[in-house]
Amino acid sequence: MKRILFIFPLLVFCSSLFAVSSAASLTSSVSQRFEYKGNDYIYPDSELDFSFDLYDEFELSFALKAGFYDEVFYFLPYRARFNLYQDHFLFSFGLDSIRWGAGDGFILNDVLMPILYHRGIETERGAQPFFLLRSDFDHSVFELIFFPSMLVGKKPGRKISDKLLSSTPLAGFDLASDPIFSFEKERVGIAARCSSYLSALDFSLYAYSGLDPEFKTQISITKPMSLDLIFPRLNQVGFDISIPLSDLVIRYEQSFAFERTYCFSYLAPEKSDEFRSLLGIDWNNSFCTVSFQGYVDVPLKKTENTERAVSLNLDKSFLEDRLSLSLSLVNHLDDLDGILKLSLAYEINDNLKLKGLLLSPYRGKEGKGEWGRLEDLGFFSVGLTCVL
Amino acid sequence: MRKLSIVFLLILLISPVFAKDGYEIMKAVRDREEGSTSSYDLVMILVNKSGARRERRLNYCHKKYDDGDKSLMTFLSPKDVKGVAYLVYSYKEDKSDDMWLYMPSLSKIRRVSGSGSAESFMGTDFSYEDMGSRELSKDDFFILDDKECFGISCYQVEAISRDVKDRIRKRVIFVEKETFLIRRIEYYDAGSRLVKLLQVPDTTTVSGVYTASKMSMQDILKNHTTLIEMENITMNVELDDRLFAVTSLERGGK
Repeated sequence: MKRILFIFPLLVFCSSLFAVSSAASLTSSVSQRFEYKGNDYIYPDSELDFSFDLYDEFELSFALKAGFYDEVFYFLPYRARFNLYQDHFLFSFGLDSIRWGAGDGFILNDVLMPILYHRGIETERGAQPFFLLRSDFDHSVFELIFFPSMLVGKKPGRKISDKLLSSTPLAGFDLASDPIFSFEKERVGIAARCSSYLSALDFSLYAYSGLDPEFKTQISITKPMSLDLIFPRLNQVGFDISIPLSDLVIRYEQSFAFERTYCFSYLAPEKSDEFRSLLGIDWNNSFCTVSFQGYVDVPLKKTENTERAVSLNLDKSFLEDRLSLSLSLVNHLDDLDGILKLSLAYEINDNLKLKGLLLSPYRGKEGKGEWGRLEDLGFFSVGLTCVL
Repeated sequence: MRKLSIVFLLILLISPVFAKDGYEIMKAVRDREEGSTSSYDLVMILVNKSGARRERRLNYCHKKYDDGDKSLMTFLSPKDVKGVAYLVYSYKEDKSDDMWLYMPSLSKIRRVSGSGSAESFMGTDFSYEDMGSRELSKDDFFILDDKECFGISCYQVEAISRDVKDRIRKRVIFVEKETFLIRRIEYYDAGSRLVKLLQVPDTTTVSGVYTASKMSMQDILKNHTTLIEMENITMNVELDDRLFAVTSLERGGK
C-alpha cells in the first residue's frame, strides 16, 4: 500500500519536470469528503485527481483518481490516451470514456438513460479501452471505434463499500475478478457514428454493438453468474438531433435495440426489441442553465413494462460565479420513484472549493420503483477540494 | 445670381466629404481594417466593489469569412475551467449566432443557444454583443459635438436603439477621427441613467492593423469592473479553417 501511495508524488514530480520542459500541462487536485448515509457511520473519502497532457505533433493524455473510501483503497486510471492528428484524420487509442448523444451524462454504451444525467460528472466510470479513427470534412464527422475488451461490473475504484454491496440489490453485481485486458470475444465492441454540424441543427446517426451495462434486471443477484448473462450484448442503432431555437436548444434522441435481454420477472431473462426516445429542452444564459428531459423506453414484446421518466436539471451561479447551485431530479412517471441530487459549491479562491452534496433516491407509490431500491446509496457529504 | 448658384451647388457636393453623419461614421467603424484573422491571449481581471480581483485567461482566435466571422475562445486558467471552449459562428445576415460549448469535465461538445447577445460574456461586465459588433440596423444614429478622449480628437455619435424593449436604450460612442477605432462608449438605460462605461485607454499596431490592447468595462450600478488586456497579438496570419471546425473544440484550438 505504501509503495502505491509513493507512486503519486513521484508521478506529479516527474510530470512537472516534463511539463516545464515541453508543451505539456499538469493539473491535479486533492479533495477530502465526509459522507453520511443516514446511519451512525461517517464515510471518509480522500481523493487525488491527477491529469497530465502533452501537446506536440501528437497528444498524450493521462488521468487517474486514487484515494481511500471507507477504509478501502481505490486506484482508477480513467484516461490514458494517445492522439495523432493528420490533416482531416484523427487516430487515437487508449483508455477513455467515449461520450455520444446530444444530452449531458450519456456515454456511448448506455445512450439514452436519463438516470445517467446524475452521474454526468463521473465520466471516469465509463472509461473503456478503445481504438478510434475519425475523419472530418467541412461540417461532417465520421467516427469508427473498436473496443477490444469492454469493462463491466466491479471496475477498479468502484466507490461502493462492501457493506453496501451486500445490502443493495442493484449494486450486487460482484465481478471482483474483472480483468482490465482479457481478449474474450464476448467483450469486443464496435461503434460507428456520422455527425453533421450545420447552422440550423446538429445531427448524428450511430450504430453500436457491445456489452450492455444496464441489463434490465429486476432481481437480486447474489451468486456468481457468467458474464454474458449479467451483461449480455446490446446491438442498437439510433440518431440524435439538436436544434437551436431562439433562447432554447431542443434535443431529440432515439434508439432501437435488437433483441435486448430483459429480466421482467424473477424467472429467466427474456429478449425483446426495444425502442427508446428522449426529448430534451435546454435554456441557458451566462449564470443559469435549465434542462428538462422526457424519456420513454418501450420493450416491444411487453409494452406493459414501458418505462417513462422525466428529469429536470438546474444550474445557477451567484456571487459572481463564486457560489454555484446544481439541482437534478429524475422521476419515473409510473411508480413515481426517483433520484434527487442537490449540490452547492463555494469557491473560496481559484484553487480552493468547498462543496456540499445530497444524493437521495426515493421510493414511489407503495414503496415501488427500481430507483427507490437504491435508497441505501443515498448520502449527504461535505468536502474541500484544492486544485494544485 | 448664377455665381451664387454654382457656389451653393459646390457646397452641397463638397459637404458630405467634410461632415459625416452618425450612420456613416458607424459604418466606417464597422468596415475599418481589423485584419482577416486575429489571435491573442486575453487576460480578464474582474474587480468587485470591495476591490477583490479575480483573473481569467483565455485564448481567442478569429477569422473573417464571406458570410460572417468565426471565433474560438478557450480558457487557459484558472485550472478548474481550463479547456472550456466556445466556438461561435456569427453571420452578416440577420440571424442568430451558432454556438457550441466544450466542457472537458463532460468530454462532450454541446450546442448552446446563441440568441442571448445581451447576456454577460463568461461572467464579465461585457455582453456577447459588446465583444462582437452590433448590427447597424438596430439603431438610429445622431452626430453630436466632437470631443477629446484620451487626448485624441473623436467623433461623438449617439445611437438610439430601435427596439424599445432593449435594456440599453442609448449609447454615446466616441470614435477616433483618423482611425475610426472606438475609444469610449457610455451605455444608458430607458431612464437616461448611465449604467455601463467602456473605455479603451491603450492601443497598438500589429501587422499594420491598429487595434485596442487594453480596455475596461465598468458596470456603474453594480460597481463592478472588468479589465481586459490583450497579449501575444497576431493579425493577418494564416489560420487553418480546421481550427474553427466543431471538432477542434476538444483540442482547445491547438
